[in-house]
Amino acid sequence: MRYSVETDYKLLVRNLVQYRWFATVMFSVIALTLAAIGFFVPKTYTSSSTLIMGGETVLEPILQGGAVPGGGNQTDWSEVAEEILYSRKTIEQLMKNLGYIDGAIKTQKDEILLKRIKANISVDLTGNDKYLQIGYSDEDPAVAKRVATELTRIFIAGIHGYHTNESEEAFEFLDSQVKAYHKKLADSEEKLKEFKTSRLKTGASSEKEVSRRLDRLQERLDQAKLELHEAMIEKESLERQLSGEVRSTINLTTQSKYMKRLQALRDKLAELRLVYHEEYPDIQAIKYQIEDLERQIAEEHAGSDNIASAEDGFKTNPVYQDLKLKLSRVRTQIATLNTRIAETEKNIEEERQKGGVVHSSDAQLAELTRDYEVNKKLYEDLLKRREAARLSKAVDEQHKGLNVKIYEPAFLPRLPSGLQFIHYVLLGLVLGVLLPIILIYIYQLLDSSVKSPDAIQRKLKVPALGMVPEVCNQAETKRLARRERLRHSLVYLTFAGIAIIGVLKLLRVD
Amino acid sequence: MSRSNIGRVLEKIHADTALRDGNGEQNHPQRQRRFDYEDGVVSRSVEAREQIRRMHQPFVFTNEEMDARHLVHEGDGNAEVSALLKELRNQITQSHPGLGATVLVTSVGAAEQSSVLARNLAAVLAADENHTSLLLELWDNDSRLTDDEHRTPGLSEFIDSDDLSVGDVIAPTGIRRMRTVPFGGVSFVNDEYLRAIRLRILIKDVTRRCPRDRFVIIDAPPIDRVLDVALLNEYADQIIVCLPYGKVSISEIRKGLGKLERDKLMGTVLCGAPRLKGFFERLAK
Repeated sequence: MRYSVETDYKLLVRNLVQYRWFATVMFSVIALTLAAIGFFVPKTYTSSSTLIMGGETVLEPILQGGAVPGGGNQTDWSEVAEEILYSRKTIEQLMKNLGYIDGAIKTQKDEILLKRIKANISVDLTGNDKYLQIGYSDEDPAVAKRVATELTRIFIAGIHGYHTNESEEAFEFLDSQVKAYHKKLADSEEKLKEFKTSRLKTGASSEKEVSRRLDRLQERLDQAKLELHEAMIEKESLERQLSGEVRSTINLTTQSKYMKRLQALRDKLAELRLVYHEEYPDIQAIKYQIEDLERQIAEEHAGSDNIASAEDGFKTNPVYQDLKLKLSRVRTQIATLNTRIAETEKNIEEERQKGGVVHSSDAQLAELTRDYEVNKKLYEDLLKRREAARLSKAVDEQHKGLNVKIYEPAFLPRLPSGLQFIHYVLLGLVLGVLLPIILIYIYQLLDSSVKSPDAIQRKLKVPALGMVPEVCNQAETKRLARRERLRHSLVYLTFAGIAIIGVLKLLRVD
Repeated sequence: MSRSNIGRVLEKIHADTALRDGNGEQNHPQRQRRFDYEDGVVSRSVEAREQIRRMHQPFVFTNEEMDARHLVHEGDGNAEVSALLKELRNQITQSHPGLGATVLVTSVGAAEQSSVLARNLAAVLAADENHTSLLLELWDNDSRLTDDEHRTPGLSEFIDSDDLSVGDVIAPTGIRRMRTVPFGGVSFVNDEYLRAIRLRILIKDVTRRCPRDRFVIIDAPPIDRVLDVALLNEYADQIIVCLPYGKVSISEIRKGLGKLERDKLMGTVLCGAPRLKGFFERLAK
């Protein structure tokens, strides 16, 4: 069960009294130790220069969207400063300028010095990130000022270089990209040209043309077929006519005689039918005559197939000659047409094949064209950007974009900075009082022995009659008093010691 | 004052504050009797006072001698202890009005401090003219109340030999009305002596000697060292336990207190606390 707060603090007081020697000795040790430390710690002087970073120049709004002027608000100047100032190169240069080293860092001592210098450099952003403070601390105020000035100079030179570097790098990059794309563009242009010319050579044409040609060919074919068909018919009829002519030369004479007679008979029949009845003997006789005649015609017809014999007779027939001419002409025509048809069919087949090829070639053309277009666009874009980068570079090269001003140059510090002797002394005193109290309190928390009558009463339910110190007789009282005096003198001695150290420090500096 | 003078004064007092019986009437014969009875009581306490006054006081301690024995006296810088002792005395006398009592003073690991407390308590009880006290030293510690000059046979001698009587071992001290039974010169190997019959006889006798006005303080060894506390419990009317500051834990105390009769426990005293002077004193109050 925890003690109450009140009992806690009263108990703490008792404990402090009980262990006052411990507390006093601790106080002495701490106070004197810190005073000694303060004595040996040298005074440091810090000198710093203040720069104003950023802010808009006249150029900036003008260049908006084009070049990127330096000094943008987004840059973390303290980081940039640290990067520049803490770099080995910078410090090496500094050391050379100050005369600490000859040419380069050689020995271990130089390395240690480098580390020390680095540790003494301070970079801070103040005033809502508007001001940059570059400072250096040293025991010698003159050195502090000199180094701070030097650092500022290095920094200003550095950031111009830094930003110029950046814009230069950007420009370089874009330039290389432009070149690459230019090449790409030329390539694709070349390819396109090649393709087009090769297409032209093969006479390949677009699909539309091919289909048009196909149609035309088809038309021609159909036409030719039609003509052929006609020609065939003509030929057939001519042949027939020709063979028929042979016969008809025969038959024409006989047949025309018979036909004449037949016709006359039919006429007569018709006449008679007009007047007389069907069963009239004349009509019957005519009918028999017609029949006979017709029979005869038929017989003649059947027997007229062998023309050969009849041929000789009529070779000189003009009709026959005419027909023969016509027939040969038709035969020629037919041959021609056949050839035409065959050729046309072949052409059509060729065209069809070509059409297949044309498909893929078309696709290829489309792709190449696309390629070219894209490359062209990219190239143009990169060109634009490159020009912007070029502009930025130009701006930087002439320091027109970055706005850095020295607000306050490095000054010669007259007052030391950081912890000084008095601080150490005060720290020692405060710590010397607090630390023992804290330690004793911790001891109190851990202490399980009985030191409070209230606790006894509470925990054991037995009345606590009181708490008394030991009975001391005079001798013991005297002894106690002596010891107390000794302890008090220890405290006075501590203060005296601190004072002496302080005086020594003052004397030492002077 | 002589006995007859006392009687006359009392007579006057009684005459003024009229004695009444149940009816509110004064009854002379009764009054006479009562007076006689009263007189007897009064005379007995007077007698006691006389006896007390006539107690043998061969020597008185000087302040230095008090100092040497760690006996608190006026102006010795032990005001806190003094106040506590007075408080204890009041508590003891109020719980036993008109009678004496036997107070056991023991400790849990406090050694000498309980002896010092015991003897101081005895001294403070004896300060009142109407009382006497007797300090019974039950154990041998380095702190000495009686020095060699006035050495008498003590408790250990009494236990050791049958020849001694109780009266032989009771010795005066340099404090008026305070007697002591010192521990004596014989040393015992262990605490077996606490079970001795002779001790019983001694204590019984001492505690019954003057029941009306004598306070017997038994300075007992620390109960965490004693195995058998039956004796202690038996004869004590009240028990005070002395606890050393910052040297025992609650469990040890609890164990020790468990051996004692709960009803008789008067309370605990934390001895040996740090002395707080001035600023700190105010801070801790």
